[in-house]
Amino acid sequence: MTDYHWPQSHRRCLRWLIACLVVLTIFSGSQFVPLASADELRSNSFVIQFGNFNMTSGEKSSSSYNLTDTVGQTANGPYGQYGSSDYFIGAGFQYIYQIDEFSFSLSRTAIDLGTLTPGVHNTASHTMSISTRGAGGYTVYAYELHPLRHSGGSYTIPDTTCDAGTCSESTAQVWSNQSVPGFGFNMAGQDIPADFVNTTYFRQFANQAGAETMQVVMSANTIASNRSATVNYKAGVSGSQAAGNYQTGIVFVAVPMY
Amino acid sequence: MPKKTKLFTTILSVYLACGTLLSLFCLWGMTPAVQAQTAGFAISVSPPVSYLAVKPGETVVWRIKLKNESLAPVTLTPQLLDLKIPDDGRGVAIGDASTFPYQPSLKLPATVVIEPGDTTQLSLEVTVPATAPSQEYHQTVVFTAAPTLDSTQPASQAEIGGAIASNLILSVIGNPPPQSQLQLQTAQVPKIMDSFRPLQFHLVAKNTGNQVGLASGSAKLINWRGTVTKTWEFFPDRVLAGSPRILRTFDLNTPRDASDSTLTALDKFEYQPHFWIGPYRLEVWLSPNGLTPPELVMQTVVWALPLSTSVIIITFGLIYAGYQRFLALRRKPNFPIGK
Repeated sequence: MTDYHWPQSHRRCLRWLIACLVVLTIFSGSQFVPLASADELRSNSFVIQFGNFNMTSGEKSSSSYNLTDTVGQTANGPYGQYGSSDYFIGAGFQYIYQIDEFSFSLSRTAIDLGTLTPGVHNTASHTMSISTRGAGGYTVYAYELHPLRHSGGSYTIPDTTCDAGTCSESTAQVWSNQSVPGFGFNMAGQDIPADFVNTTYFRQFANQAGAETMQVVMSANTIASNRSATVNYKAGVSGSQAAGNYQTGIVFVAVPMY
Repeated sequence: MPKKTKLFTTILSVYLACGTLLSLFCLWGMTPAVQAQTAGFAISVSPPVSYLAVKPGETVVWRIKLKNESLAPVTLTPQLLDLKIPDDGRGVAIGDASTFPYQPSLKLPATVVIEPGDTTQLSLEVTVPATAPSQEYHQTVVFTAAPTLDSTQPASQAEIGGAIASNLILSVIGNPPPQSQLQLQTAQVPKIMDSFRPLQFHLVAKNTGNQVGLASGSAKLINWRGTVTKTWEFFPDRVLAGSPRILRTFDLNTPRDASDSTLTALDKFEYQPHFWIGPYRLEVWLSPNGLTPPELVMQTVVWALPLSTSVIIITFGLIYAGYQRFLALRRKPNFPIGK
């Protein structure tokens, strides 16, 4: 049997391939080294380096829970024992979640209700999303500037009172009869009030022009990670409603817990 | 080509191919994630709540960061309002105006304009006069992007505006220094329970002092033999001065992601045995200020009785007695219904 001897060019090529392979392997392996991430905590005036003396602290866990705590630390509480002139002692790991970001978003800033025709309900919707790491949670309120108002300013579409005439800005009822005019909304998704039983339950918005108190449309008393809900708007007119375009403004206010 | 060379070439090719795929995968992982941005309203505020303390005659700075995470510039109108706590101690509400006496020193800007992706920081100074007493103030600044009504639109529309708030809890440390004083305001505990049903109750604490205090303590259920059957540790919520707050306990049952080390809380205290009977003593221990050891603030007895079983037994007993009475009456000669 004759041994096969590779030509010089092939041997050079092979060496080049092996070199590339070694480089790729080293490069790939480096991506699996976990990055060291330093947690830095900032308050309004300074950086907290978790500086307190305590008996025990940190993360503890069992098969059924994980816990962060600080036990027996000096100067616990929001202000330490009596507080100080211009800084906040965040003694206790739990407080870092109060200092984190609070985020709120709306998917749209305009809802097109189209041309309103008697006997037909027009609908449109958008979503809203909220995140907070505070253990107290959040609340989202909603109100309207005024009822849907004609562009000429003289006529309005009244806020809905639903099929039975019993819904309000604080209580949702069924509104499915298309011959019942009005303007209202339904909520679907996470952390919504319990009176939105299903997609046929509607409320009217709290009317700021009428000095009505804005109402809760989303709330939770715990941390929230991208909690979202859909707001479904509905409008309908009666046969005697003046023709034209109607407008209003709706405001959603997100308030974190303390 | 010799077999050994063929084998070597095959192994090398496979190794090279795997390495290339792996590297491509890692490169893909290294690509910075495109942060999702919405065409609507998307604002984040930090911190959501600031606890600041100031001495009379001094100034403290309240810093708030706002980030515009949407695709369009946003114009926010800040407004300082009172932060209110509902009487049931649940949640938070906003007042119609602010009663903060040191508001003029804040100098809120008329508007705040933030470009897409940008962050802006506000530094609001609160100056307290030298004669200010020890007191705590609860305020919130609401940043509103008001809806823009456009009457030229060709169809009926609802313009949507968003608003986000950042809260301020300010303590004026005067002389004498402020103190928190937590008391148990409400305890909705039933007196009698069915032996087959769980015990559920709520506790509301009120801070009658003039500085925020931490809810610290526990509730204990002790059976007739003196054994502590159940202990609920209070979640360290803050109870603001002059305000109530519903007490919560740690939720150890809700499954969470293993990477999430935060514990959530429940505002319902619950004891769920399969069966319990007899008198149980419920003790509530609460620290007056979150610093000193908890004190016994409430003690009550809950009776667990087999009510549902008793009702069933009594009902059947009555039915049986009624049936026996009916049979006895039937034996009488003048009974109207035939035998």
